[in-house]
Amino acid sequence: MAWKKILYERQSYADNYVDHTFLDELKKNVNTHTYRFWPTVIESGVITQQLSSIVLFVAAFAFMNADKLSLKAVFLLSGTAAVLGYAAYRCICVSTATLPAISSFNVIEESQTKRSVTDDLKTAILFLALAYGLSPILHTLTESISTDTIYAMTAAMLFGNLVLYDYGPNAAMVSGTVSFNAAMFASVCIASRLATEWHTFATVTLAVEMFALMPILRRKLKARYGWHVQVGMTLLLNTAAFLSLCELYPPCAVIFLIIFIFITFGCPLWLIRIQPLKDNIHGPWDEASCDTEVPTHL
Amino acid sequence: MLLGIFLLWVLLRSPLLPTVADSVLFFAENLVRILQELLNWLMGVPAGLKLNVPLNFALGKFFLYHIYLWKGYIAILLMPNLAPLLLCIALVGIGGVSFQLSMLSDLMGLLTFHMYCFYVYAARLYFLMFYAVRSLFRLFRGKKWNVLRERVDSCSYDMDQLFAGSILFAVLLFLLPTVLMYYAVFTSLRVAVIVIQSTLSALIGFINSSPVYPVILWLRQAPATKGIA
Repeated sequence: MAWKKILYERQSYADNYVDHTFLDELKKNVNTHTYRFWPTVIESGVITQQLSSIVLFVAAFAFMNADKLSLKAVFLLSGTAAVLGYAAYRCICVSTATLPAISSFNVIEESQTKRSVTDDLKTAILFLALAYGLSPILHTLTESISTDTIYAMTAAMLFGNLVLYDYGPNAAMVSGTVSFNAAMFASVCIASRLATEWHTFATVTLAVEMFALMPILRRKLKARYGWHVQVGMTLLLNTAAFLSLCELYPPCAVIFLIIFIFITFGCPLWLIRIQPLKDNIHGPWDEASCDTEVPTHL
Repeated sequence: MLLGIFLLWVLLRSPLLPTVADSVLFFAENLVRILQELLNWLMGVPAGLKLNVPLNFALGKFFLYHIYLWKGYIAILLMPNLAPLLLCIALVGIGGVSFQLSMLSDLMGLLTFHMYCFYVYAARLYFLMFYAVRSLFRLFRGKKWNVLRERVDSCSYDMDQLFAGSILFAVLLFLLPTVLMYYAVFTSLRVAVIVIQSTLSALIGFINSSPVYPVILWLRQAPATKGIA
């Protein structure tokens, strides 16, 4: 009698007998993605962009602390950057909407999360009023805490922001909320070290621009214009960060350059080198997984 | 009751009453002075802890003003009425020493009423701040309290909520130690007063439940104490 792979009938074979079709259903590395070098290098720009925006924020604080950067300059720069960035964002939104719809899914997503200009204006006014009203409190918030503790907390929070930032993959660790909140907490910590309340207000506003608004713009630009703009943004931000570090503390600039080269070129090389060693096994014993995308035409 | 009448007789006959009145007044004023010194200590650098200066100053001034009002209260309401009040306490001794002790406990409550007020202010402020910090910490982690399921769920907040929430979280977190300090100090004072009042109350309970009358009957071999024989 031929052996059947069942246990609910008595067979003449032992219960743990296996025949030549054993492990036929084993599949290896079904879902693995083969990476290519240059696209990975271009995508790694997201990480270096976030790192350089953190570096630029800290450099702005350091310059304001050393009185090399005047308050008026900060307000002017951040104000014009915000207005120009918002205008660019709106233009891209409009031009994306007039493109032929790639899939019904995208169009529905756009219309659900659409915010009008008045909504954004209300958010901006709310935020500016809150920051302005709270800046006297923020200014004297950490007077009794030693400077070293403040610097350590800020560094830890900004590191948290870098690590937990939403770079794209849907992993459990990613949490856009926590990373933004950590960045705001860091900005409050460090803003309380500055000379006057207007400095505090400027720092908090700058932090919101760099950690909340700029990521949105960067994502929009990357989605709309593809890899040229991505490379351009990476180079621009990293050069700016590198130059400000040179001005501030040259050894740090060297470290930044080393980290940049490591993340941009070293890590993709490493990933591609070890990708062939991947050994995932799949089979009928795996847990069933549903399709996560809900079909929207139903 | 005998003890009460004895104490009443002692108080009325001897010139003890004015001295008792003076000592009560002295106690009240001392209390006020101690509290003022305590507040000045808190407004400085208490126990080497460095508290947030503006908040510390604001809270300290608020409580000092309250003490100033309290001093007025003592001067206007309490002082003229103190002697009759003590006479009242002594007279009540007809009911027994337990009455006098309970009136003493109430008098103590009246004299330390400002400490009770301070405790209530500090406790409310502290619990409000603590509740806010807890709720905002959940916002920091991207979670929310689900009232329906009574558990902590994840929640996708709007940008506006995140802005306001994270800044307020930082502010309230840094201001919490100062309020905690005030809360701890006033709670311990309140606990001290409660300890004294409950000792008095335990004493009263002991006196009330001590079987003086049956013992006296037994000593006199009254028939009520003899068993059925």
